[in-house]
Amino acid sequence: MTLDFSTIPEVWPALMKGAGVTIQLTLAVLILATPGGLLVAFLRLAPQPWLRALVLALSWIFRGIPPLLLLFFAFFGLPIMGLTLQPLPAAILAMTTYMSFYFGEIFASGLRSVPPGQAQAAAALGIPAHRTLMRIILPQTIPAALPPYISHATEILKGTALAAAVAVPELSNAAKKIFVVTYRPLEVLIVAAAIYALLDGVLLLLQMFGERWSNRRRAGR
Amino acid sequence: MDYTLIAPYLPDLLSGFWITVQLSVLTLVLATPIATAIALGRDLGPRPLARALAVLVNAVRLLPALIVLYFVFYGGPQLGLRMKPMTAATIGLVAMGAAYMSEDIRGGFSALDRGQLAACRALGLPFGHALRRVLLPQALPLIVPPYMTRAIIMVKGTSLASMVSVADLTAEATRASSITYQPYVFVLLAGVLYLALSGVLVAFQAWVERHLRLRYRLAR
Amino acid sequence: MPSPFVSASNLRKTYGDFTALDGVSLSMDRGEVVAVIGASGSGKSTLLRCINYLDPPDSGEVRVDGVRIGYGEGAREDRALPERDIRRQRAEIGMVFQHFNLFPHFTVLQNLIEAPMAVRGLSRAEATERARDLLNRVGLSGREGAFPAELSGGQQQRVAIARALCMKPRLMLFDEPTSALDPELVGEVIAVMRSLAEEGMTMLVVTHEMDFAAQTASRVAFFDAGKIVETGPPAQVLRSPQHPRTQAFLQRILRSH
Ligand SMILES: Nc1ncnc2c1ncn2[C@@H]1O[C@H](COP(=O)(O)OP(=O)(O)O)[C@@H](O)[C@H]1O
Ligand SMILES: [Mg+2]
Repeated sequence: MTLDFSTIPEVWPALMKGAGVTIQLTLAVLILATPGGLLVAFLRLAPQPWLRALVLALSWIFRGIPPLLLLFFAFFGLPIMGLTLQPLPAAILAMTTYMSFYFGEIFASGLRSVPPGQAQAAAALGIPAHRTLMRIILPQTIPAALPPYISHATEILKGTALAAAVAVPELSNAAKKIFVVTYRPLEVLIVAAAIYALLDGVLLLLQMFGERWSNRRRAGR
Repeated sequence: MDYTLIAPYLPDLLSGFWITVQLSVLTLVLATPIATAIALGRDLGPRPLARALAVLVNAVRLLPALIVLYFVFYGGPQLGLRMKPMTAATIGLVAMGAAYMSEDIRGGFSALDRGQLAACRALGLPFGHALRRVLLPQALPLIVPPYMTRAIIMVKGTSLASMVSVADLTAEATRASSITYQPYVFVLLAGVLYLALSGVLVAFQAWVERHLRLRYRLAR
Repeated sequence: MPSPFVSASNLRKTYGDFTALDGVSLSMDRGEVVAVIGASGSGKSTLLRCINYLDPPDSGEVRVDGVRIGYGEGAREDRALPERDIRRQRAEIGMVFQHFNLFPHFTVLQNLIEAPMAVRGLSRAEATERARDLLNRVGLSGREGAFPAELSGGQQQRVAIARALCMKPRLMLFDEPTSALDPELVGEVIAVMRSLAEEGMTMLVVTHEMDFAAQTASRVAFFDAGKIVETGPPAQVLRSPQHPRTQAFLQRILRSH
């Protein structure tokens, strides 16, 4: 059998449109789940034991259930609570929720990587708590947290394909809609795979720079 | 909540769970030896083999799992490979899992001191013997935690099989919810069952780690 | 003239563009102790690894007791051996590493008996008996149940020597056996090596211990940039070196001590 890419130019705009939705979804989740993750991390280290336990349990649940099931729940379950969302916002909501817990774990261990002496030193100097957090602690968590943060960003990108299950017209969905008509899945899938690889490549480049930057920061300590 | 509405779908949910268990076991059992072979090939194999494996592994890791499953399920027939959804899903999930898992295993081996292999060779120990008695026992405690984390990710990942017509737990929960409009019950039930599977793996991990600690009193 | 017990002739080894061994020849009589000295990166470890074919040389040949390493015997001498047979030859050559390379998950005794049982086919009882003898000789009887991490560096290196001896090798290679040790632990390892030399073991020792080279070695070979540039009795090479590189190297060593 031979591959025949002659129909690709014709379906190219549809694939690009799908890729656009994929990028939108990735960016939206990345932007929303980052503060979400910080919130989870702070709650994971909260002074109240019950709060820590609650967030730990939620984290375990949201990271233990297949994302597909969560997406599905946002799409079908929320309307019953009176919150009917379009596919894209529903997907953003579901992915943001579970990614916040993944990011939360990363940020929490980043916070734990800062030696307790740092906070003590700041306290001894009389620096107020919130200023200690913003100016002393958080900047020091970045080197430890950045590499896993970016590698999880590629997980978001790859995870967006699941949104096809709730009819979000992202790239994998667009590809499938095309090949069920053309009957030539391989060619379309190869092109879609190449687009995913390209987008991943961008994030991997970022990761390389990030890791280099982090290593320098950490070596300097 | 109306129990009479829900009850008829419980057997479906159970059979979906059974499919998910089968898929999980099958994926893990097949991916583990393949991943080990890939890891060994990349670290100790001849240069061309190591390169080819690196390209393959990284290509698979760049793609969404769903696209890999589509390749097998929809692309296969175009190459004359027509297979049952379950077979296609297993192949796709094993390919994905083995690629990621081989990286976890290599991570464990790379933490090993190169001198250990040199010492084995200098003593004239056959490679298989060195692997079994010297290298693996030292690498295993390092490999087990990331391996088990990966195993849990793979079990969750079996839910993608529902996207290529496998009637697994996710598929059955989805179907029952959309018919009955009771997503809370079915998604909750399915979620609990997935968490139970993860729980079994976590318990297994604790057992393995204890066993390794006792068997090889690793004093490091 | 009898042929030497060990002979390496014209060994060459390159890594990419880099020449690590640039035509090295060295022969040793039975029971001879040769000390190899030279700056780090000059190719000393590479020479040892080529002699037991841990890393086969690109060209040149190694013979131990007349047998060419890596090749068949007698009429089959031009045939390269498969790894399985090289392994058997390698088992005849003991090697001691700078960083000991003991198996951390095995006890001292297990470290010693593993290879004799797996490679030589000794029974556990035979191997254990041999191992106990050797542990006694290196002054570690009673520590056979200890794990490597529970021992000092000097003790670990003595276990490593015993592990190599447990294979009853005919030649021993030492790669900077005391370089990773705290100064106060060097003596105990040197003492074991000395007694081994007195018993007539043929030894090729890469070392920075000039006392050992001067007192125990019958010959010293100075390595520079992948070549042996000077060789001779210790008194000659260490006291009145001829080659300018040897002079410079020895001066640096003297100054640092
Ligand atoms: N496996 C290898 N791959 C590439 N280069 C190597 C390898 N082994 C040794 N070399 C190079 O060969 C040179 C000699 O190394 P070595 O024999 O270890 O020196 P020495 O033991 O005298 O310090 C070094 O510059 C080293 O970088
Ligand atoms: Mg060296």
